[in-house]
Amino acid sequence: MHKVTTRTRASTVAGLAAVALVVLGLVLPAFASRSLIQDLFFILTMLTLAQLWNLIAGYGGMVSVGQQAFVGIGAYAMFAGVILWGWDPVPAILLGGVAAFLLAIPMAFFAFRLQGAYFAIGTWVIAEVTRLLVAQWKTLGGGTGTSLPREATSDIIGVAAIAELFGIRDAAARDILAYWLALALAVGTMAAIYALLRSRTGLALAAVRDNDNAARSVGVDAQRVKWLVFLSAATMTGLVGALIYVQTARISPDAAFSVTNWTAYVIFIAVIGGIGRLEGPILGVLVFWGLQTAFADYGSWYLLALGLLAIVTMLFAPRGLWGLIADRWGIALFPIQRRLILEGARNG
Amino acid sequence: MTDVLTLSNVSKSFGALKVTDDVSLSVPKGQALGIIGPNGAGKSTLFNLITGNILADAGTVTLLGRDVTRSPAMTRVRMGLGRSFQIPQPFEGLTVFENLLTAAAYGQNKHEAEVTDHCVAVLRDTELLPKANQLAGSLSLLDRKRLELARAMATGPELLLLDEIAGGLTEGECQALIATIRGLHAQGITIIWIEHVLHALTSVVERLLVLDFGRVIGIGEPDAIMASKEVREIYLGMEV
Repeated sequence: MHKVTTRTRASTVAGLAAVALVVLGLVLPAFASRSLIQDLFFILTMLTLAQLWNLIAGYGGMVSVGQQAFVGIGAYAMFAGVILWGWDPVPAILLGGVAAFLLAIPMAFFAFRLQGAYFAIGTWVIAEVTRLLVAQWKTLGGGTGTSLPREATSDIIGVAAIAELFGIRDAAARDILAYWLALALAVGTMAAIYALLRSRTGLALAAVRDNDNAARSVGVDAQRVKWLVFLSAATMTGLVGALIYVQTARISPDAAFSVTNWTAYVIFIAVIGGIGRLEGPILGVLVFWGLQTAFADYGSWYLLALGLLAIVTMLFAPRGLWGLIADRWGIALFPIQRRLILEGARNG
Repeated sequence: MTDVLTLSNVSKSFGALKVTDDVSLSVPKGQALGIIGPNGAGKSTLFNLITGNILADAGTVTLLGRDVTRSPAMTRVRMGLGRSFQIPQPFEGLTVFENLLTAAAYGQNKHEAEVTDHCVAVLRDTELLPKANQLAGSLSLLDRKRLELARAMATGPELLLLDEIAGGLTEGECQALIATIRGLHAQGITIIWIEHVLHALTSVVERLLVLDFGRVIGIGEPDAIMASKEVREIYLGMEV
């Protein structure tokens, strides 16, 4: 018998460290400051968006520039649930996932006819059209936007319990609830992506990315794999969008469908950290958060510098910071490569 | 003897150009058939019609007793048709072993664990075992050609289609590849092989088909075909 394994020594350590970090993340609100919780909320939601973009672009080869469509429609669906139907904001987040899923079906139908740069532009155009349509929705504020009503935000499920548990005010308790949900989404998304990549479908996804034609010739249903990944990523992106706007409590079409905030920054994170690997966005989001904290006040100069940094990275380290680390030390924290170990031989 | 593949009056045009013109042919189980013809004779198109990468305008394609004229490539692979590409098309970001694993798991529609041993056997047959854990993108031309063959074999084919697999190799490399293909043929696999390197082809196949301007102009035993006047004319100036 032959053995096939993906495990490395680093991955065993990484697995244990990941569990410890998640536990630490769960208990963190007990002793962390409110501003740290808010920063972590930002980091976790951006990380999740970057992992999802990485899944479709880095592993699936579908470079979408229209992910803001799912953030926006997800956020608006949550607002609709709260304002029009009187839902509690937290369960209304699920509406965001449903809305993004439904939007992704026609989007994929049209965009999958396009390749490469045309696919990228096509997704962007569809996102803009969606923004313009949503801006016509007068009951949700039209082009100027609206806020979540005070009644809705004042008694969100669980907030009172959290406030009592930690002995804090409702506003701080809302931040903690949003942070926990962001943590759950980030961990759930990464675990799901990792499981997908290690499954048979992960092989199919890599095959389709590397060579669509050859993939079909070995029996891979390339269309099915692309649909599966695109729709799943869209649904999750919609959930993240809805969660972000539960925390913000104020929405406008320009903000919710912002290509800069929800796609350009997200691509930056994946590119800097390393496309096509789970470790990349984790490193990338920390770099991005650092830059954002230190330099965001410089406005357009800051954006120019980000763009320049991304270009330099793509030219000189196309596999990102994590790519450099992996090449230098041969580490993979979340390995997906299946290595064949022959009986009586140790070949790596 | 049962036929693995039958083409009946198959035609295909690209615009006004008829690239496959009323081709009929049967390949019995276990046979190795070679296809030759000058550049542009329509060999690769005929191949793509068999694999399903291109669909025929007219006529029928029957694979293992089933009409697959309208079936996509994916269906035909799962029925037992494996192919190699003229220009190797490896999954470069995957290792050699993972290339085979993908082909075996999807081509045979099984779990990865069920096909591991089969992949190892194919790696051994094609002499790629020492390179199993290397990225496919880092292979030499000979190994890429071997990987084409190995990946097609991993799908568990009854009918194997080889598209100019010996092209671009040195004489020594070519001999090594011929030995491998002969070994596969000896296992009872039916083979259809397009090749410009004639001596490689004739050392394996039992039957030769000559294609020109999309039409079959001769089919029969290799020696008889190579001796015919028509074929000699087409191949005039070409090393026979």
